[in-house]
Amino acid sequence: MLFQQILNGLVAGSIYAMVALGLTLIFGIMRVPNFAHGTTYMIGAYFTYFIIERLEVNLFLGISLAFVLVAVLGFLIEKVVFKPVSNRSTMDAFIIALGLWVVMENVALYLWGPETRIISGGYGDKVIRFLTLTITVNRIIILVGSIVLIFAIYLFIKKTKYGKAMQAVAEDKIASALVGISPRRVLGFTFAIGSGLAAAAGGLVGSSFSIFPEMGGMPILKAFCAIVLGGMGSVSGAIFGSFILGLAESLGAAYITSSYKDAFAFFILITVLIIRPHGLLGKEEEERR
Amino acid sequence: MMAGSLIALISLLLIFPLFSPPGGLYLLDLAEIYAILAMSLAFTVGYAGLLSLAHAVFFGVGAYFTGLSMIAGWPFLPTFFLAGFIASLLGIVIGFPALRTRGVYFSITTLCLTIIAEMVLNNWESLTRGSSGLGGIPKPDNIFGSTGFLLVKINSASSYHCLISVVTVLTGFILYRITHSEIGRTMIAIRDEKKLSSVIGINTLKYELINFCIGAFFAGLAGSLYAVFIRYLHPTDFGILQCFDILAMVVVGGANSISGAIMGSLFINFFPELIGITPALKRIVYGIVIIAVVIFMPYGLQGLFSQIVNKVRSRIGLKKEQKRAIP
Repeated sequence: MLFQQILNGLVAGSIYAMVALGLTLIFGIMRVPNFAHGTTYMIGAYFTYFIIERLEVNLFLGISLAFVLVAVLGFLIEKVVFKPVSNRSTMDAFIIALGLWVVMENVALYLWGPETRIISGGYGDKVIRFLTLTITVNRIIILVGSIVLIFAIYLFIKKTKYGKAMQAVAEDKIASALVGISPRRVLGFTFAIGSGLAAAAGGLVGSSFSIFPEMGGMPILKAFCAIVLGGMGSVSGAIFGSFILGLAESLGAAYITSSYKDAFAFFILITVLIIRPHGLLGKEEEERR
Repeated sequence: MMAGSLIALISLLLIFPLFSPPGGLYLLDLAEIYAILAMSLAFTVGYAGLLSLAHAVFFGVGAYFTGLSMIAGWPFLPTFFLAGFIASLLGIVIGFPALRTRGVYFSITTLCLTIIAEMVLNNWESLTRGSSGLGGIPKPDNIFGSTGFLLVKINSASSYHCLISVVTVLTGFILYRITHSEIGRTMIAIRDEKKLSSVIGINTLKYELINFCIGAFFAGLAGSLYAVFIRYLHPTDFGILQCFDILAMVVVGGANSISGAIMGSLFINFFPELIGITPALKRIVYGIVIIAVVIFMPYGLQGLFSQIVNKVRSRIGLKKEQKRAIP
């Protein structure tokens, strides 16, 4: 029972981690939590669904194509709506992100209807039993796929030139512009990568759970909660925070109460924000206006 | 400026019912209820610099309190004021811890509280009847109770309109007076220079809490009116989407001003009807309007309106109105 819950928690945590990673990368540079990020996850799931339905490709190719398409979409979103307010108060960008959330969710509702769908091409309900544990093959795919992707992105950020540029811009915009890194271009690139990751998360989740227009709301808030737990703008912190949150939720639902399962994350988030307004590991910084 | 906009508002509220098409009065009343709510949010956003996403909670608390106590047979008027009072108490309970956070984090803390409140409304079925909604709220037949003193019946469309209009105008007036009093100027000082204000001896937390409480009070009143006007309450009416709608009104109204909030709520409520879009498209349009207004028109309708007024004034030879320190 305990190990089963831990396993479920790890699966949930890996989903949060994929969303949280993109969110924290964008936050590191823009200094605004992009709440529209959850809808990118939803759109990724729908894109994967339609690519697999129409082109009849397998799940992995479908997710890769969705990754690319949504990455382009993320890049365009940054250019069209966030760029014009880049020099204004963070509140403006935050309001725009909220507006974008509502627009995208309702566009999805309008185009694709409120019914839930399931991405085909997974392994259905095939179950693996190991000792006392049961897990569906689809969830193993989620777990393995997301860990591979997270690891790849982590290496990309830490080892490559582009990844280092992203870190530099997050650290200090002006100094990085002085040494020849264009913060604008890096931000667009970061949006692309973050959105692609969220899309891949959506595709993986959709192969095992159902997809519907409002599916992005909870993961984005949970992912934000994970980021706050792990420290704002920190990449490894976001990953750790996600897994801790996934485990806490799964164990909390099993041993405390399941009807308020979703509320745990918010209680954690509110408590951390109130006790340490800049995140558990984040450092205090001057509010930019 | 104040007297002018007040006269304009009152005459709109008096003349509109005479010429309105069928259904127009209902829409206007609803827009006025939202105007009260939007004003309460504009007061908090504009004068404390706190983008609260918890106003839907205060709205909901006011509405559910009124709904439940009217079903229990309470008269309307005491319920109405108690609804505002309870909402402002909740404002203290929420505000005290939430005000430790700043800026965007304050918004997120309040957003989480709204989500939790919606969950509670959905799950506490013995009290709120959960997702089947709270119906059967009686009309406020006699707002002062049945003691025979001042029998005012609220049962026709025009008496609803009178009640709601009086509350709207009074809310606007009271909030305007507060923002132009010493308290209001202190709030502006804190909003603009928090550290400096605390250095000169202002208790910043106290004033932010007062602001939050007043905002919550009027949101609760709006909820109370909503409960007796719509007479059916559902948890989703008080969730994230409601927060978003109120925010749309304040942003479109612009400049976080009290009069802007009225314009914004009139615009947001009438606009979908005027151009005849379906409810499914409504929120898409709201979202696009919000994004466009933030990018292209940061001062919103209020900014546009004062620009036009100033242009007309200079055209007819009047002196340009002295530019106030934008509140």
